[in-house]
Amino acid sequence: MLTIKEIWKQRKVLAGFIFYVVLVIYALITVFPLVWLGYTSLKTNNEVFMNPWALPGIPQLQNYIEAWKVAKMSLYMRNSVMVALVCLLFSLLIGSMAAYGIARFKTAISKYSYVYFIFGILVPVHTVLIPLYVLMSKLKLVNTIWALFSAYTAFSIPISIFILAAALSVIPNELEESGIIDGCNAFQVFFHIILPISKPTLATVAILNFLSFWNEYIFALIFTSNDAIRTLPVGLANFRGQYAVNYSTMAAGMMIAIIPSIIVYVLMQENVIEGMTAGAVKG
Amino acid sequence: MRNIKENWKNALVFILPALVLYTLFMFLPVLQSIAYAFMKWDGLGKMQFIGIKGFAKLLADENFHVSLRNNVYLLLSSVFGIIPIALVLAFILNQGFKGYKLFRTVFFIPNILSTVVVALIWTFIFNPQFGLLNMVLKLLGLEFFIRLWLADQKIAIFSVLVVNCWQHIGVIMIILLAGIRSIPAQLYESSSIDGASQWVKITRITIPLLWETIKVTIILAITGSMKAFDLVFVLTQGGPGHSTELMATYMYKKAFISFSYGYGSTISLTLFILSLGITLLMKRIMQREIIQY
Repeated sequence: MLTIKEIWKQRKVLAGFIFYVVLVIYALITVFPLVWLGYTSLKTNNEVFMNPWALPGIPQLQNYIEAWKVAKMSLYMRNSVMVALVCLLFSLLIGSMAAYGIARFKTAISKYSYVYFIFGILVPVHTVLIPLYVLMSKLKLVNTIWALFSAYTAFSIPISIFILAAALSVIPNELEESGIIDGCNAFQVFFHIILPISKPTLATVAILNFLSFWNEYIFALIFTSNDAIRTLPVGLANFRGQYAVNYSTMAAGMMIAIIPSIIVYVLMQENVIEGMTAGAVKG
Repeated sequence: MRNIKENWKNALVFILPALVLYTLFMFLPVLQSIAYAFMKWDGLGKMQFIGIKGFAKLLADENFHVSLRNNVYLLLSSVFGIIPIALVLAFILNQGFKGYKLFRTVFFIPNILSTVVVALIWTFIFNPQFGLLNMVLKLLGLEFFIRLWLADQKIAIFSVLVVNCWQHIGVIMIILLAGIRSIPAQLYESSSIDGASQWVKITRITIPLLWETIKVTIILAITGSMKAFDLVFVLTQGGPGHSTELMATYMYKKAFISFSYGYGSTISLTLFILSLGITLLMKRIMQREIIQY
């Protein structure tokens, strides 16, 4: 007969096994669609329909070439990289400067502007879509890359300030004071003392902002109608209309968009997770 | 030193660029949006003040009712689908299995993809001719379950909900996991000495102490569900008919396809107020004393 202790032990082993099965099943649910898409992108279009499960007979690398050239993925990729990097530079510079003015100065303007900026976290983009489109038309920015530069940067400001101001406010005063005694002006203090010690927080904000620029869809959809400046999400979504029957090329196009994200994620996993969860509070 | 730090001009120099950009492209548009909501305007002609007529029209607009219902579905499926599943996964992961980090990495993958990519992947999965979902059902001998997942008016919205869960479980799980890990270990140890079972530990220690974190995820689920757009827009364009329409996609159609800027703004203002209102209400309801040990 089993003693109570042994029954307890067996139950624990069983629970552990069930837990493991749950984890494995859920992991398959998340990953298998991507794996399937990956090998579908290497099939001929006929193979896609004939036997959806099967691996490709001969890997069709020309799907990728077609997606890259004919379906203009190269163009969308270039635009996405440019938009994301330029906006990242703007948003980090402008956001960290404002966070410095807010967190390290004891003036009324610092206090009130913080509240004013934080209100922006609550604003869903759809609320401003129509007036923003009207404004962009008036400024003649519609269908130029500047519409994306300005809108993306402006919308990244509240969350950047929220995260950066919290980090900057805990920097010890002595660090700044020593800089001032050495004869630095406020800008020198900011660039040579504050920014270097805020690097970890800047990295979090950088990843959060980069991903939101890289993945952004609705502004890009509304403000651009010209392929020459369209970004990956808009280009891909339009794929559906243009390549509706050519599924293997479409799969290749999607893989081209997915692979860089996965590589960045694998290389900088902890930072990415931290940045995304920090940004999750965004409204 | 003090002089520099108390001089508002110095502070303003640093804040100014953000202030200008934010005011011009974000804050003023919010105010304009409120004004447009009470106007009739096609974007070209003259604006005409119509007061609350737009809101009256909204109340009677069946398509808006469907949109609002779908947003509520999205909200409920997030709160009662995503959060419990994420909680279970977080609990299991917290047991410290071999491969803990790998599972955590894998579960988060859908969150790093753009919603457009997620939606496109799922158009493949739901495809009636070669889609993964129907193939899996065939494999399991569940052919009778096969449906036109995105083309059937009655089913399409539920397909959307499934994709939404798939995309967001990972990030919610990470937030909950961080919450679980911040609970001091000695609480469990002392309860073990008192002879508490695993179940008692979960219901009496983990859940109450995790409540603040769960609250955060509920608020995230609410705001996320109210403003959802990309997923539906790419997956179904709000169709078939208007069966998967959301407030945001309906607003987009009214404003940028029918050029009713006024009515579009009425919808977007309603969306904003509802989202803010439900968030504040939930915060109120969920208020309870923070437990400290």
